[in-house]
Parts: sequence; C-alpha cells; structure tokens
Amino acid sequence: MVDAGIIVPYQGNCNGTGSGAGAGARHENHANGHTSEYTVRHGLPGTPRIQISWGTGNLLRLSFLPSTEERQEIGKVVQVQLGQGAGDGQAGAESRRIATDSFPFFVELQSQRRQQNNETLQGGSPNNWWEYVLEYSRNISDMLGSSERPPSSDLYDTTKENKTTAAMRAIWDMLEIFYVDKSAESWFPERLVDWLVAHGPILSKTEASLSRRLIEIKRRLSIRQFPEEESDYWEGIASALAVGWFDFVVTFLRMHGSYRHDQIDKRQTENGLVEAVAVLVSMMPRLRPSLPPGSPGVAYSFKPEFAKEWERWRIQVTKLDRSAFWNECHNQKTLQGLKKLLAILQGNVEVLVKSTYHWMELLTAHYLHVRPFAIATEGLVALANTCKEYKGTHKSDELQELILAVLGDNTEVVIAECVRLFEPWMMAHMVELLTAKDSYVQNLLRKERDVQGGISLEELYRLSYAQSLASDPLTWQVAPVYLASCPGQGLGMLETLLLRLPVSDDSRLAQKALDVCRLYDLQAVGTTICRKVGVHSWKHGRIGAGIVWLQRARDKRLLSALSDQLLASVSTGSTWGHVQDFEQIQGLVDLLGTDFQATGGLSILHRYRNFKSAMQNVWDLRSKETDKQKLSAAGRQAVDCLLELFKVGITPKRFWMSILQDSVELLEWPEQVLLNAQETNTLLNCVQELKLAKLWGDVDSVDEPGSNVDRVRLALATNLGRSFLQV
Amino acid sequence: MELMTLEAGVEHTCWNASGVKMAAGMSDGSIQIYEPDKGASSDFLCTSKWKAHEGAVVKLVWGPQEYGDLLACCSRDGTMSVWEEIEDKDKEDVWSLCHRFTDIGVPVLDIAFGNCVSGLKLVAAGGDGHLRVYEASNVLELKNWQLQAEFANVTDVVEKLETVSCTAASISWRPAADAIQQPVFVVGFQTNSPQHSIAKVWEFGEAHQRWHLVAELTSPDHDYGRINHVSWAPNIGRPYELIAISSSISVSIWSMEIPSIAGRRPAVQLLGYFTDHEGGVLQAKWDMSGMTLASAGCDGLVKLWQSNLKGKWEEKSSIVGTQH
Repeated sequence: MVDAGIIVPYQGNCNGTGSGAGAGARHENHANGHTSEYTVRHGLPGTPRIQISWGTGNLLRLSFLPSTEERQEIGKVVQVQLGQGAGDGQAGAESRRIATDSFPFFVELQSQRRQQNNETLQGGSPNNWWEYVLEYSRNISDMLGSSERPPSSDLYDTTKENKTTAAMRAIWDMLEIFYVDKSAESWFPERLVDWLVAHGPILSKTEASLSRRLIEIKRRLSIRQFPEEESDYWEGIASALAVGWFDFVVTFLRMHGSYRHDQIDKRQTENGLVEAVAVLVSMMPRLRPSLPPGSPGVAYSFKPEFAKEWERWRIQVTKLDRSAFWNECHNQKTLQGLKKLLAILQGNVEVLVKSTYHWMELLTAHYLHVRPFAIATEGLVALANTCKEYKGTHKSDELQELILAVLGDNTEVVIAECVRLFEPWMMAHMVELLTAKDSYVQNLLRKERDVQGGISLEELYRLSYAQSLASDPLTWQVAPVYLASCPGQGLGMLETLLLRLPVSDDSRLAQKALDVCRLYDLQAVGTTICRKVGVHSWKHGRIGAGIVWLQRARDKRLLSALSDQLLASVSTGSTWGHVQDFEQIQGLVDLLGTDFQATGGLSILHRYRNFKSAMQNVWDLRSKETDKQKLSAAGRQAVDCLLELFKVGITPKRFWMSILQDSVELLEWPEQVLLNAQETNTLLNCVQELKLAKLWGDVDSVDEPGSNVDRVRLALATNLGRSFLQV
Repeated sequence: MELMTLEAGVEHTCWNASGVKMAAGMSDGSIQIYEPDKGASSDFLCTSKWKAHEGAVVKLVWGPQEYGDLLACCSRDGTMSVWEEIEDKDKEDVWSLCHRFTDIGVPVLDIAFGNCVSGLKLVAAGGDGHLRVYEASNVLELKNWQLQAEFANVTDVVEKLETVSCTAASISWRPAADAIQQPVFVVGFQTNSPQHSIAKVWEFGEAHQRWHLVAELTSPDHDYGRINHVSWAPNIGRPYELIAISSSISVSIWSMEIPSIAGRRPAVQLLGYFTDHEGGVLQAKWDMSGMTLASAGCDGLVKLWQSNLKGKWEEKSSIVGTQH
C-alpha cells in the first residue's frame, strides 16, 4: 500500500531550500520525511495572533497581529508560497518555463489517448501505447534540457544548471528506461551508460562527480608532454573505461607520450601496446541500436550477432593480455595502466570496484563488462544493493533512494518519493510514464478512491499541479489544460479558479477568463464574471462599460435596477451622481445601438429616450410655427412614444407621474385631439392605479404634490371630453 | 515575502475574494484598505482610511464581488455597517456608507455575506445567541436592508427561552459551487450554555420560507471546548462536505452529507481531531480546492493538514514565525 504523504503538494525540492516563502523565509524537510517546516520572519515580540487567508493556488497570507499584551506594536502581513512551482526569482522563472513548454506535449498525448481509445472501441489493438508515451517522454526530456547535451567527446557538466531541473530530468530519463521503453529491455546496460553520461553529476551532492573529475584531469594533463607518468592519467582512463565512456578513453590513450614523434623509436613496443588497447576499445561490440556519430565501438542490435562478436572480441582482449610484448614494455606505469584497462575489459570485478566512485557507476560497469547480455530487472536491485555496500562510504540521500526504488520496480516508493522531492509538475506528468505499460500501476494510479472524494491519484496529482499553476498570474492560463483532463473535480476547480481571478477592474483579464469559460462551456461562471466587471464599472463611473458588461451577463434584474437609477436621475431630477442631464442618456442609448432593446431591463430607457426626443421635436416645430399638419403628426408620434412607456410592466410606477406631467402638453393640444378615448382611459387607469398604490403603501410609488396630480387629472379629463365631442 | 506593515491597533484583517485588496479593522473603530502600489507590483499601500464606528472593529468581511467592492463591519459598540467603494461627483473613488444597522440591541460577534439566488444576504451572530439574516432589497443600491429572519441557534423550545450570553461567534457559508450559493451556513458560538455552544448547520427551506436546523456537529467522544472559528470547505466535486472547527482545545475536521441531496438530516462524521496546537486554535481555513486546511494556533504556529490515501487527516507542514 502506498504510504502516507503521497499527495502532499507542499514539500521541498531535493536540495532542501525552497523558493517557498520568499525573502526572509526558509523551508526544510524533516528527517522523518512526513512534514516540512517553513520559517517566516515577522519581527513581532512575544507570540503574535495570526490570521489566515488563502489566496489563489498555493498562496497563504498570514497577518501577524500583536498579542494582547503588546497592543502598541505594529503588525505584519506575510505571504508564503507553499510548495515549489511559481514564485519569484530564478527557481520561479525556471518553473514557469517548464510549465509553458511542457503543456503542449501533455495536450498532444491526451488527444492521442482519446484517439486510441476510440480505435480500441472500434476493435483496434492498443498494444503500442507505450510508443506514444515514449515520444512524449523524449519531448519532455528534451524540454527539460537534455537536448542541450553536448557531443559525447565532451562529458556533460551540469554544475551550472538548475539542480532541481537536473534531478527531475535524471529521474524522468530513468523512468523512461524502466517504465516506458519496451525496446530498452534488451539493451539496458547501454542505456545505463547513456544515463550516466547525462546525469552522473547529480549523483553526489558534495563530492566531485566522475565527469567533473575527468574534465579536470583532461584540462591539467593535456599540456603535459608525458601524461602517462601521472597516476591520475591512468585512473581517469580506467574510470572512464569502466563506465563505458569510450570516446574519452581513446582520446586519453592517444595523449600518451609514446605517440610523440621523438619518442617512437625508443618506445615502439610500448606505443604498439597502447594503440592495441585503443583499437580494442574502438572495436568493442556494443548491444545497442546505434551509436552517436564518432563514438568508438561497433553497434549490434541483434543479440545473437552481438554475442558472437563479443566472444570474438573478448578472445582478442585475452590474447593481447597474454601477449609476449608486455615483456618489452619498460615503462612500468604504462604496463600497469594498460593491464588494468585489460582487466576492466575482461570484467575483473576487483578492478571495476577500484575504478569507480559511486555505486551507480559500479552497477553500470558491472552490467557493461560482466553481464552485457543481462535483461532488465533480472536481479537488478540485488546487484544495486551489493554495489551500494561496496561503495558504502557514500552517504545515501533521498535521490539515491529514489533511484534504487526505480531500479527495484517499487512503484509505491517511487511515487511517494517523487511527491516529496519534486514540484507538483513532476507527478502530474510522470504518471503517464508509470502507467505506460504496467497494468498494476495503471490500477494503482487510475482507480477512483472514495477516501479521496472519488477521484484517482492521477487526477489528484493533476489537480495539485493546476493549483500550483493558479498561484501565479503568469501561469494560471495553463491550468485549464490540466483541469480539463480531470473527469471528477477538474471543472469544479476550474470554476473556483476563474471566480477568484481579479477581473473586476481588468477587462482584458475578464476577456481571457470568458474565453476559457466559452471553451469549457462554463456559462454560469461567464455570467458571474460579466456581472462583476459590469457592476464594478458602473459603480466607478464607467456607465457605458457597465451596461455593456451587464448586457453580456444578460442580467435583467440588474439592468432594470440600473435603468431605474438612470431614469430617476433625469426624470425626477434626483441628485444621483453620474448622469446629470438627458443628453447623457441620449448619447448612451445611441451608443448602445439596437441590441440595447433586445436585452430587456433597459427597454424603458430606450422608450423614454424616444418619448423625450419626440417631445423635443414638438417644441422645436412649435417654436418655428410650421405647418399645423406637420406639427400634429409630430404630436401624434410623441403620443405613440408615451403609450409605449405605459405598456404593462415597462415603467416602474414611481416614474409614471413625472412622465404624465411631461405629456400634459399633448393632452391639451390646441389644434386637435391627439389621444382618443381609449388611449386617454388607459392613462386615467394608470393615475387611478397610482393612487391606490399610494393608499396601500406600495414602496415603489413616490409622493407627488397634489397640485401636479390634479393638473394631470384635469388634462386627462378635458382630453377625454374633447375626444367624445370629436367623435 | 513581506506584503505590508500594519499600524498599531489593527484588530482584524480580511482579504477580498480575488486577493488584491485587504481591509484592516482598527481598535479605534476605523477601517483601512490596502491595495497594491500601482508603481511597484509587490508593495501594498493604505489607500483609504475612515472612521466607521465609535467602538473597536470586531470583524470585517468583504461582500461578493458581483456587488462591487463591498465591506461589512461589526463593532464592539453594538452596531454594524455596510460600505461600498463608488466614484463620487469629483470622479474620485471613495468608500461610502450604504447602511448602518443600529437597532440590533445586542453586540454583533460575527457577520457573513451570502450571495444567494434570491439576493444578497447578510447573517449576523448576536451576543444573545440569535442569528439575524438581512436581505438587500435593491441589487444595485445597497442602502436598504430588511430583516428576513431572526432565530436562536437552538431548536428546543425551552432552550430558546434561556438567556444566554455569548462572547464570540463564527459563521461560514457553504461556498458557492458553479457560481451559485445555496442558503446554507454553519455557525458556532462561544457561550455559557452547552447546547448553544455546538456548531450547527442552518439551511433556508424554500418550501416553508424559513431557516431550519440541518445538522449539529457533535461527537460523544470529543468535546471541542469553546469554538473560536468555523470554516466550510470549498467543494469542487467531493460527494460530501467538509467543515473545520477551531476551538480552545483542538482543530477538528468534520464531514457531512450534502444537505439538499440528503433530503433528511445529513450524516455527520468526525474525520480528524487534533490537539497539536498548544493553548488552542484561533482559526482554520481551507484552500481553494478544499484539500488543505491551514490552522493558526495560540502557540504562534500555522499548521497545514491534509488527508492521506487512507482518508486519515494528518499534519503535513508547519510555518514558524520568528522575531529575528
């Protein structure tokens, strides 16, 4: 069973110092491995009161307030970024780079999985899934930096790069060998050699790695005339030969002083022996599909053929070892050095142990020279432990425990250690590697667990990663990609994430959030976002923007409230802040265009604008004393607009009286009767209704001076009488 | 990373939902607003300060952002106020008073906004052990608030008549799912009466148009002492709800069946009970996924709690504050 601690997103990286709490903060993993500790400097005496607030993602804001005894002290607010991932500084920038560079590969693999699932449903066979994963794995590995691996003649030095990324890449590549690449099973000793070339430096934290040591030796000895006189020279070659770095061996051997022209005559045999060993190394059969260009050795991908060639090559090695020429070699250092190299080529365990520094080097050397035909996993972990015992001086660290777990196919430990050591990025992505071919692991990681709220571990790791992405304004947009692949709680978290974005006064961010809503069909969240921006704009004086956003939200209730406020500001002469005159409403209505009417809620504004415009037209025409017929037509148009306002449910009661007052001029039209009896009755009913509402204490009605009401009633009654007479 | 230094006399701090503004309530009854400095992104500056109450501020709470920048504040002087930031006639953003609740008659110990379908609600926990639910009558102008309901935090008739006095209270609404919040909240009182001291979940029943008790968070084996804080976890897809109670003894984690789905009294289960903080726990709050709980103890430590694969809650990390 997987141990506790498996889901923790808040753990340190492998070098023990997190970027977590930022300036003045430290983060340490406890030795027991289950808890970690952050230290935050608040500068307050005594034991302060703490108030907690979670930000988006993994951000924790802590208010340290002075204790009751220290009330006069100041307080501090500190932000702690839990776990790794996004953050300030170099580590944060590296995490962001990884986040933005890796998600396209993740998306591609998910789409390939969907396609494969469809084909399987249609009767296809999914047995080549691991090949897709292998491609994904190599893309990610390249992305992590291994594509920058220099030509094999120069050993890779990772001292300058980010150690966490280097460690992640090392484990990633090892997982690929053992969990993904089925083809690597037959030639895994060579894969170990390649792995060691790329990742040797991360094996030991304090001591110089083999690659660094060899670079140093090369730098020092290349200026010497007779490097073979130095013991470092032979030790370096032996180590490089043991772990399979043959290009280095051949280059070094050819630095031997016997190659110098002035030496040839005196040291001919010695030179011949050196060259013979160099040639043997160059001809060594290697069980691998291909070799990097310029690398010594001959690649064989077919095992029986390799076996035959290897036997033949071994005989030549033995033959050279037993040759009589050794007696003619008078340089003892060369003699001993070359003999040591031959012993390594013949798989002499004692010499291998002496020529390697780290247990992983010894393990690689053992497979390369003693058991080149071995199949992966065959006694691997037992041998690794034996190698570890041999190299007992090395202090074991978490990373090496993890490597041992990978070698031992101990998936539960691999998961638990990766969760503990690396950023959530690692788990979210490496689940694909672990589950590429092993059904037991697939079951372990994809089974839905009731105690975790019905989601699988795979989903849990993706959620954790998405949460860490959400902590940073620069990476939150990557999070939806991962959340969309979480069938249980992904959309729930996406909604929470979108609702927490500070969209209110940032319409560009709001637009981005709306794009995400549209993509994942989150209509309710989109509406809320529009509403937030709309109300915020409205309350901060941006009326047009407010209305547009609220229209997008299709919130009839808010729009009605809003048009009420607008109307109140002009029709009743209220002192509400933003709109001083009718022109502003008119401009606004024109600006909003024809869609404005369709949204509902705001149609009253539109009709009120039409009414006011018609009335303005009437006044203009009357002042010019134009044609009476034209004037009456304008008056009739105003009446139509007036009646539109009094259709059921359009205008709130509290505006009725002020509109009716504006229309008195139409009722008392001197030239003719503009409103017929039925229309006048409609308006009279409204006056009656208003009176009743006032009697019942309807909150929506407002008090009007009695004289105003009387004037309207009189005008209506007169008009009614005139309309009867006209008929 | 240090975000800001607070003046002496800050009693309570509260961040808005998007985490870009912080309000601080002071012992002299004033409120301060801190916002990021527009010039330097990481610094927060005090952008507004005004006197809101005569007595010290007890609690501050931000309203849902769909209502703009809205703050509610309760004070030791027994009044409660709602404030919003708007642009005034001089085109300046100012914090203006929406409404002052002066007729409550008892000290208000905690307040919480609920953004329900029916409108904006404000729940206040009074020193008499009563809960008062107010509702804004206008969605845009939050000047008028009506008392929608008032009820004691008990169901027993005899206990309803009992006179209790409470020293502190904490309310937590069930967080919104899919942007829609159900009218359900949990409340805990610090009081002299044992029955009043139990954390209880209340729900508004649309059918009967009244608030009814949904669940009591109690366990016969564990006494949580005086409640300091309650916190309802966001639920992004769990089939059950999680609630954390911080008290003078412990921080405890409770699971509850989802109320409206259960159709009866939902089953409640104690999932974790931790006494690791010396001197009790002041506050415990959930992260955005509801998977991690952060608790702040009287011992000056912050602890982070998570469930392991067997469903057992345990401490995962701690944050230690130091003076130097």
